[in-house]
Amino acid sequence: MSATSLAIINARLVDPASGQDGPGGVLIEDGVIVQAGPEIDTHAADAVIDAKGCILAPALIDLRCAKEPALTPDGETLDTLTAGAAAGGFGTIVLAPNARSPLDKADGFAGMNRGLARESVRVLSACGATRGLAGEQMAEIGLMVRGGAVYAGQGDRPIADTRTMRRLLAYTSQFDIWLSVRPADADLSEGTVALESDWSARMGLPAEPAISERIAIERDAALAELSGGKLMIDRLSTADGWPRCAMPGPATRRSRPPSPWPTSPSTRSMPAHWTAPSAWIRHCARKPTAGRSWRRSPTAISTPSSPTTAPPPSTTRASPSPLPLPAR
Amino acid sequence: MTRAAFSYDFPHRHLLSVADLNPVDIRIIFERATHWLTVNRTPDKVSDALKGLTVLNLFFEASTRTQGSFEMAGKRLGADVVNFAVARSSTAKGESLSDTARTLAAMRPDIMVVRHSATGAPAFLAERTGLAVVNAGDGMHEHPTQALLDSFTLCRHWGEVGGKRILIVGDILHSRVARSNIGLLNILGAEIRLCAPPTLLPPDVDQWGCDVFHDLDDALRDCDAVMALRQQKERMTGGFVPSEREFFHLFGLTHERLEACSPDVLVMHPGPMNRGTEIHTKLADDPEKSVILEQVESGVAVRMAVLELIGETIRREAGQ
Repeated sequence: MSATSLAIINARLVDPASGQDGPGGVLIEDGVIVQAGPEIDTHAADAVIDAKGCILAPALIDLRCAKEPALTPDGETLDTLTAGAAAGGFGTIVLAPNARSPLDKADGFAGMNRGLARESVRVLSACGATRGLAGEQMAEIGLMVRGGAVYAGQGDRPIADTRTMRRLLAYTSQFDIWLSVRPADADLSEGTVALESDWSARMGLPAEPAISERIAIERDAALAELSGGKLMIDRLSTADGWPRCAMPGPATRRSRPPSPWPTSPSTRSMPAHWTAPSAWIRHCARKPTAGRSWRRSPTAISTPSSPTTAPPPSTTRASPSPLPLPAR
Repeated sequence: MTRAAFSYDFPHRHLLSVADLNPVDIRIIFERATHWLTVNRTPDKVSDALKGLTVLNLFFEASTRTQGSFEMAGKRLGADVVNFAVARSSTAKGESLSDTARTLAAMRPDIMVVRHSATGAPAFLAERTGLAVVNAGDGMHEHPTQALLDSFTLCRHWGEVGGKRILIVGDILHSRVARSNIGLLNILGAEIRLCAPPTLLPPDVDQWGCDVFHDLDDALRDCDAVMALRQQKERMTGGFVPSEREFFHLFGLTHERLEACSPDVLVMHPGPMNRGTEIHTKLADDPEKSVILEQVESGVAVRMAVLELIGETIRREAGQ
């Protein structure tokens, strides 16, 4: 087979790994990138694409996807899901647990993942952290990690019991996987349909206060420090919760008071708890509305902006949105 | 008279913690236990080493095997052995531990063998009553005779445990057996490894003089002995692991996994054993590897040695 090569030039080249963001392109030979940067040697290329006005970046990863045939107009299948992902620039998607598909059974988990491997984009799966996502009994996380689960999650169900949360963080730490939870104090948020505000009060809606999220984030972050677990804060929705997540990097942390928990250099270093979730939070923070609808608008996420300059959400969730949150 | 005891009297009138023992004390116990092990295999088992002394078995927690082992040990030494199942009597009627202790002490026993669900209860009783006390398990704290019999069993195979690599796998958080074994094996100079899910390990356990693992296959590499521990459901509130099935897949001992160990690896379990959860049933029954029943046999001999040596201390102090 003869070698084929393709050059993409005149793009805005964005590479978060190297910090690159500027004019440039790549040269691809036999499906492998052999050159990347502002100057690309186009002489040897069989084909050249002029990508003026476009962004050229590594494929995006969607950490939380779900196949929801009942909730999508065209009856979503795995094929339409992956096609949509590819069209939106996503090279990897993760099927995540939710109330309709809790992914909490170890039996058949490995088989499901083998099936997923045949799709056109990379499809991974996360596993449910607790049985039925009820936040009480741990699911067989270890067996599901062996079956290919890339992280353990709780869908939109918070974990009410602090002891369960501690044990989940400790238990998942042995597999070095993330534990993804929605930050919400279960008691403050139970049965609510809106964020507490002047608007929710006038509308007479049962509402959750913004500090519900802050309380949960502070609790879970403290437990992550204690247990050495890796915490992914998913579905952040309030400005109040944001500064409590966004403290990545050793420089910021040095100015914080020292942790009351003994951490030896051999334990997982603290920034590891923060780096990825912060990235993920930035990811979430730009979602146009809360909840699932975020997945349906990948263009909002692929809009270029350097992660470090992404603004934190400045408004609370309910006020601009006419959609009340689905009841849980 | 043993070699170690020739110029050194066993100095203890209690056995509350393995930390009270030094290597010579342990050697004296093992030398006496070796003697009693031989005697126990003959039809003429009963001696009069503790004749005239009363041993009180005071079990605030239900126990069959440990209590039976102590009872048999006391009786074979010629002591009068009285079993008090306190769990079903005075405590249930609201009596405080202090009052129970003083009441029983007034009956003038010589040695109390105590099991209690609270850390420090045997030490408290020793202080309150002035009697000689053997700790037969206090909460999640210590079970010194179990650790002694475990090391004794290993010594019967190896001569000594110093320099050997020993893995303890399972519910270490709730295990007094693990705590006593870690203490004793450290005194004896063994290399200790622990393997459990993080939920079943005490905090900062890596500072206990052990290497800590979460992956059983890594932990088993080149081990000389492996001790499996049961999940102590009676001490657990809520779930520490998702299921017994997952526990077995991640932390259960099987023949296949033991191939990473030394070929002469010994498999131990303090009992009661849950087959198919922490140990494969075939492995538990493999006479080439499993020393689980030897541990039970050693238990009686070691407890005889401990009671005998404490009895000698009592007699010495009484000027006899």
